[in-house]
Amino acid sequence: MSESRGRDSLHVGGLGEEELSQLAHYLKNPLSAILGYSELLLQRDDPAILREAPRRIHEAASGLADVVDDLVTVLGVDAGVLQVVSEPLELGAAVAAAVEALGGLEGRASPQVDGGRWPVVRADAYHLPRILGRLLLAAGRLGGPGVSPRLSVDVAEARAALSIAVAGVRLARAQRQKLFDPFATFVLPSGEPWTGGLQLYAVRRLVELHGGAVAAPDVDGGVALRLTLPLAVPP
Amino acid sequence: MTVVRVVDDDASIRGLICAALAGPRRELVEARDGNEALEKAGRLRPDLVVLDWRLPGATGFEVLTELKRGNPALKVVFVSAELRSSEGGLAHVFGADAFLEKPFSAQHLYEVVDVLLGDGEVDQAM
Repeated sequence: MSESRGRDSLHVGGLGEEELSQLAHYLKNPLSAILGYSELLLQRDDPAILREAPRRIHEAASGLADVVDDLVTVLGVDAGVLQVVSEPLELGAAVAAAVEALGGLEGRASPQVDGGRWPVVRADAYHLPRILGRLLLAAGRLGGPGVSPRLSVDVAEARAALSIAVAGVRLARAQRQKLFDPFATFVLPSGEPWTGGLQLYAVRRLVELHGGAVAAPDVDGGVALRLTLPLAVPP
Repeated sequence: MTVVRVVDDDASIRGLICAALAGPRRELVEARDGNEALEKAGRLRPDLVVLDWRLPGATGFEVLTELKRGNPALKVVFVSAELRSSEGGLAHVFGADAFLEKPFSAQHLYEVVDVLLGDGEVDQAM
């Protein structure tokens, strides 16, 4: 076993007061829900709390796990220790698996997948499902309950582009640009706050390791999250 | 009946605070941002507001100032996940009655609110 090197600080240079405060918000809000609801469960014999608290604790713990995972991902990319092993993968199969996983989530409408021939891309078999899952969840947050993201794919110049379109959600250009900013917050047209920036930033960093890109273009009647990956076999 | 307004952009935190403070003599009303808080405050005239420091579209201070302008006797409890320890002092300077740092104890929250409202709901809850 190798001996780990000592260090006297965790370098988070570049983060300002606002960014650190938002980071504290990401971590402490779910912690508050977990601690608070578990405290109520222990202290009160209230049927309403017995019904509600386990679901709230589970939701908050899942959210916190995602935040930790995103942070570890970004730190790993920054440190150069997180790498991808790309291999030919069927994008359609990966999308179908991610859609199926999302369909099991309470309160989210299942995405609709346009038919057509799905390409084979070069991607990491471990990271691609996480990337797709994060993008689908973000699209679900953008649209809110009852809005089904629509998926489509096109191929051009040795790349495949997957578009996850959310109809009816009009975002200003500045807001679309902020979607991949880890600390940006703003109010969505639904009235809900957007707090998915860290999630999409981690996606962006992972996709860039694949030689791909992400964007949030304006589409007819809404916004899309667009994932571009290299094709396994260029046309 | 006392009216308590809970202002936080995170639904799980609003739910937690409402669950912690619920009682037969309290009406709890949620708001997810500053504008909604001010609009509902105008209609319902709350006795106490539990207010998140960081809100989309408006700072907690802006909301606090507006709320106090309309109702100087209003009790305000700030909650915050921020790192700056000076905020507790600033909250009092701006007229807040209590400041809790996230993650906070549910028991501590309802004890603080009970003291501020003096409506004896803690004895009902425990």
